[in-house]
Amino acid sequence: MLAVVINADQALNMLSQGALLFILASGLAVIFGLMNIINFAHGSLIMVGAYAGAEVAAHHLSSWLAIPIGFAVGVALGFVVEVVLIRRLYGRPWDTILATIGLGLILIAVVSIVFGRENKYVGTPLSGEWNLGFDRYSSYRLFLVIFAAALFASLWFVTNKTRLGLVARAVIANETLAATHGIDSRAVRRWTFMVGAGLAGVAGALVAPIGSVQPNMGQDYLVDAFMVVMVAYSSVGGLLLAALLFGAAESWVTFLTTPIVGSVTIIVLTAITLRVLPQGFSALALPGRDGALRPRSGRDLPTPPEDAVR
Amino acid sequence: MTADAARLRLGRLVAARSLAPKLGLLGVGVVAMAIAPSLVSTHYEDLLVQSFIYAIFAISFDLLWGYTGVLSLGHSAFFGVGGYVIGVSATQLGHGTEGIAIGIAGGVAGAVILALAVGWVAFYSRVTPIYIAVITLSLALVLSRLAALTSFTALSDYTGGYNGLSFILTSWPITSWYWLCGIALVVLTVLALVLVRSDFGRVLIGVRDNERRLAYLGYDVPRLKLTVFTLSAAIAALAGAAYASYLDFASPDLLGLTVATNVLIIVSIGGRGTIIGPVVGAIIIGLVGPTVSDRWPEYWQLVLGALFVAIVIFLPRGLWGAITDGAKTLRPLLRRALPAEQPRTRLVPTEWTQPRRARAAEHGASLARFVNLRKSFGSLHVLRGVDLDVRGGEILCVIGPNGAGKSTLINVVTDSRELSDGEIVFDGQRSVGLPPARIARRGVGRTFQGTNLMETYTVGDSLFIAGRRGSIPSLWRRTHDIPLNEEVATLDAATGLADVVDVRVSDLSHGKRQALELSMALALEPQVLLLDEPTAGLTDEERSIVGPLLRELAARGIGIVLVEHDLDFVRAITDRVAVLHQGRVEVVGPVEEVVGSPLVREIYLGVKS
Amino acid sequence: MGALRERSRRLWAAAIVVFVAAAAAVAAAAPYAGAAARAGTVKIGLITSVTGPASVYYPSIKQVTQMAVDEINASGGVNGDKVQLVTADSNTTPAQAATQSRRLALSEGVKMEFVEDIVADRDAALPFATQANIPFIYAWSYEGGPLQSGTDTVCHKNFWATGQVPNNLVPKPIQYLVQTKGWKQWYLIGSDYKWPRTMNKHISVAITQNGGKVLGQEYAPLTQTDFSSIVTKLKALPKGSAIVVNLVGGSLINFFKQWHAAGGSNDRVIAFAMDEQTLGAAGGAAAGAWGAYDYYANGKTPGNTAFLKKLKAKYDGHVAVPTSLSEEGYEAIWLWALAARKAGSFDLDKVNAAMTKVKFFGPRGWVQFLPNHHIALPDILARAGNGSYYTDFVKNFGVIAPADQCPASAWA
Repeated sequence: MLAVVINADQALNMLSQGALLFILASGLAVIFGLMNIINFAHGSLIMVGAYAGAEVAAHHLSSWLAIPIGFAVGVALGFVVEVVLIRRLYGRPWDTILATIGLGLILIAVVSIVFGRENKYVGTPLSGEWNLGFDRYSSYRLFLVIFAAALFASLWFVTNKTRLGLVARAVIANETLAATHGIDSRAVRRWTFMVGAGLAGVAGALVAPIGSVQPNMGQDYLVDAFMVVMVAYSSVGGLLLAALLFGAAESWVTFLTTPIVGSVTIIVLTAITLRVLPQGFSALALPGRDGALRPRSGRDLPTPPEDAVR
Repeated sequence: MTADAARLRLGRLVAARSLAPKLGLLGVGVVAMAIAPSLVSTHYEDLLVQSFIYAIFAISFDLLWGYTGVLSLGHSAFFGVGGYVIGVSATQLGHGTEGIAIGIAGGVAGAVILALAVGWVAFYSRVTPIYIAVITLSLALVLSRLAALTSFTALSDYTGGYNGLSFILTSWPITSWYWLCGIALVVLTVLALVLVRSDFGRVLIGVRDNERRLAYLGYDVPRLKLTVFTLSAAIAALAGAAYASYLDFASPDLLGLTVATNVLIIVSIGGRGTIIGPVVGAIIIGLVGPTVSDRWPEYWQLVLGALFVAIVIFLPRGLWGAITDGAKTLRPLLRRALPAEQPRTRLVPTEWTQPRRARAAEHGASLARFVNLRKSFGSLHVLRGVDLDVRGGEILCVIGPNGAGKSTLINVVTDSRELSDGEIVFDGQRSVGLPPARIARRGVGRTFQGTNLMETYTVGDSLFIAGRRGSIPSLWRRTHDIPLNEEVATLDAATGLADVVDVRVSDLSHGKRQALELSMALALEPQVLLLDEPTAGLTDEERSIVGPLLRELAARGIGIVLVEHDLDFVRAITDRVAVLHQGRVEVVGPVEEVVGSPLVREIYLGVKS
Repeated sequence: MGALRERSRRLWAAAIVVFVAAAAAVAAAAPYAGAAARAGTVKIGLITSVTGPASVYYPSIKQVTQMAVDEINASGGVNGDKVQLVTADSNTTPAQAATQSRRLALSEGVKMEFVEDIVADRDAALPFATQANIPFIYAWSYEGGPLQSGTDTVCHKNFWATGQVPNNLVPKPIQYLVQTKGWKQWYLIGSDYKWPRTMNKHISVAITQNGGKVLGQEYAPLTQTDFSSIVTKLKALPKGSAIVVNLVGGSLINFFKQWHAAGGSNDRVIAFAMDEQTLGAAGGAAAGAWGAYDYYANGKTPGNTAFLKKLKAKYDGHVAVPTSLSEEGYEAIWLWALAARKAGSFDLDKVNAAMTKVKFFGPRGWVQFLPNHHIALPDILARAGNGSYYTDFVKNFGVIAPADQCPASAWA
């Protein structure tokens, strides 16, 4: 079947895969970019968002409602997690990795207890195809592309053009200085985490119709999102570029070979990219560079005293 | 034995940080292990065998993470490689001695090769610290997915693809496995305890606490990490081989994230950096887990997850850490009731052992030359061409306003990979593009602004490690008599550091920390010493010790570069002064000339004369 | 750190230590509590995917296996003992299936182990059951033994199978589709493990023998959820190509949903692991697709009518639609119970000897183990309707005897 190297349908697969990856990674990227912590419970938050979507479907509500409800559930969960967990680990980024891994397990267990562990299947809000002239293509996947574009635009706008973004960037750049200007850095961190968790919830609601909803579904999404965020490092533009490139690569390799080889594509590309460019794509002069979530200087995750010292 | 002798022995056990209590505990464990098979059902014997194997795996993880500070999120890769290689060997070569021997050796070799490759990629490059987590996670994911690949390649002819490999290696009864794995676990626990308590173990803890500082003391940190990573991978592969052989089965799950997360959780809960904790944790979780989860899988996962999170937040040293910390708070109470024990760590003054390149007669000879040093961060130029030379026997003081590039100067000189452009010559050797450890071993010592120490070291550990100058110490012995050159001994006696050799660095006062910072740099016996504000935060009294000491060092032929703000202090001890301003040396000369010059006033006060 | 915070930290620490100490005590005590069977009961173990990609088949498996046990106990149990069913979850991962097999044998002390799960899990569970001398029944359709280029793990005297093997499943329907329906060009996809790979090999042979042509094959992991690239390839196939979809469980459902959303037609699509539970979960996306099984939930045979009546009586209001993949377990339990009654013992050799001597009138009619450890079964080609059922029974090929899967010496 290698006769068909690429066609319009496959090109759209590659684009929509990149868009999906961007949506999946955005919540993780916001938290990593603004708080410099890696939220390994991201996959489980996606799973919770997907269950929110499944519940919407089970109650015969409009499938579109799944998106705002997924966001709301994510934000609410984010609030609880920040207050109970994340806040206590501020300044201990390595321990935050461990704690969020544990949190992911807890969320899986709780969802299993409440909703059972069997697979659930959710209908799409959009079914059928759209005729694009050159190709007829799944309308839902095209909707994901539009959604990703809107998400990118909002993230870019908020970080660069609003006071909120300015405040957030000020806290990252110099927390002490920001505090002297009356910025409540604790509130900034709390809101950041809530928004990041909310975006994970949205991603969950969006992937629910195209996969099986079950408690362990988040793991593969987490891995892909984690890899893309490491490569994007700290810029919204970098995230978009990484997601589009790696998503397309995954889809293309899958098309040429087999899905398993496709599924390791993102991982291998990430390991290579970070070896060559330790700061990922934010080291490149990208058009979206001004959208940097975090200043480029400084190395990531310095081992702080509290983590290392026992 | 008299009562007094017994009390003395007990006192030693309690007071000394010796192996004895741990060995005693191990004895209890061995006895429990010996009688367990006659008490429990076959089912629990079966679970114990699996727990023992997991405990060995946990030891490998603890050596790497708990002691060396390298977090591998995909350690299952090595475990699984061990399991798969013995499986493939058994199915291809048969179940005889040949199949087993080649299987075990091949698994260990495979894990070692993988670890060397991954470690080389991760440790010998300027990647961010999180990279090791990314690449180990990647390794486990890629291997587990490729192992599950049934189509597309001939790989699955050997691995069995998603089905995995069923193979029957031995027909030993469970009890034989129990003894084999039990004895292996005891031996490995003892070896690991000896290793982590040896002088080499102290170096590893230094890597965990502050690898950067260790590099500036001359230690080849990447090599240390690679060594432990490889050792850990080899042990993990052995555990994996045992696990797969015992279960007669190897599947992609062995390589996957569940196994990787399990060992992380076991070591965290048991207590990272304790060896015993992870072993005990593996056994408890290995027994309780299946018992509970067979009936209530979700609830077991919930409890385990919650326990893991609670321990990460409240007991970072895990359960065993909590128990030993509790024992430590009891120890002074016991000590009061028992005869005092002499501190075991002693400082032994020795001669300065390193060759002194500039002898007294050659004072004034150039030891180091900096030519046109430049350093830029993107479009920000911090150093714009600095020229200086450092002469034996003199103190050269670098002054300048904040942001002039003083600390950057020290940084690029001691880590010349950071240099954007320019030439550095130490003792006639061009020293550009070298990492800190190489420069330190060429005889360049430095201190850090503020302090930059290994916080869980004792003072004695710090001085011992600094005095080794990067050479790898014994893997089994622990040195209690720490050789120390006269200069350091003098300093430590004067500052009172010598009285607190067994105190943890994190418990030291600020003045003592500064003194230790300087002592460590001196213990390196450098030719050139770069000091970044060594008197900041010191009392006048302490400061009055440092000045003469620096003069004394200079008198012995060392070249000292001092970054300092306190102009009175500078006046008192400096030979020459260099004024750094906006990344350039504006003027160099004798102290009186420079300090009084209009230029200095202009730079500091912004007054144009 | 404030004194208060330090105090709360210590309290937490103490609480954690106490909790773990309690857990350790439980662990130390647990071995004595003993999980041994109560007197007067005999345990049998079921390994199945309660969770995981293949869990879509479980709802019905759960009901019909419990019903078999209850029926046996109501008719006097086995050898004076009540039968107790222990269900172990494999999560569709071979490693866990292996662990659960050990547990069933060592901890639960089961006298029979049967597996309604993918072959990867069966292969992981089988060796320990073999070592423990327990009769082992694979109650699912599978890819066959070494004589049919299948798996050699099954060649052991304690292995029995109640499902279809390639020769009484594949050749007739494929011959019909190629020759009668004129499907000449085929593309084969499947989950990436042994059953789909081997089945597609058998199917390819049947296609070629009947003058058809295989255009290509493609495999996706069991956990795959995104089929966009595969759908693209299928859409690019020459017009009139037939597609074999040997995906399993969740993958099969996700494929049909995405295939349907992309406007794919099911007119020339056939699947061999698409039972009624799958059809229900796919929500109409698989309507019109073809399948070939030995049993259909709405089949109008006397055996099935009686079976459905009992099912309705027991689970009225929440009956999970029974399927070929679930009722094979129902019959497995009954066949073992009858054999053990006949043998008067739970001893492996005695039960094995009695296995071929008993027969049972189940949903598929009279079933009996042949000396080659398999069962002669019907083979019926049908098309799925819009809901949970196959509605168009295209062709019944009658009862076909299973070919020998292993050399006769294997059963000695």
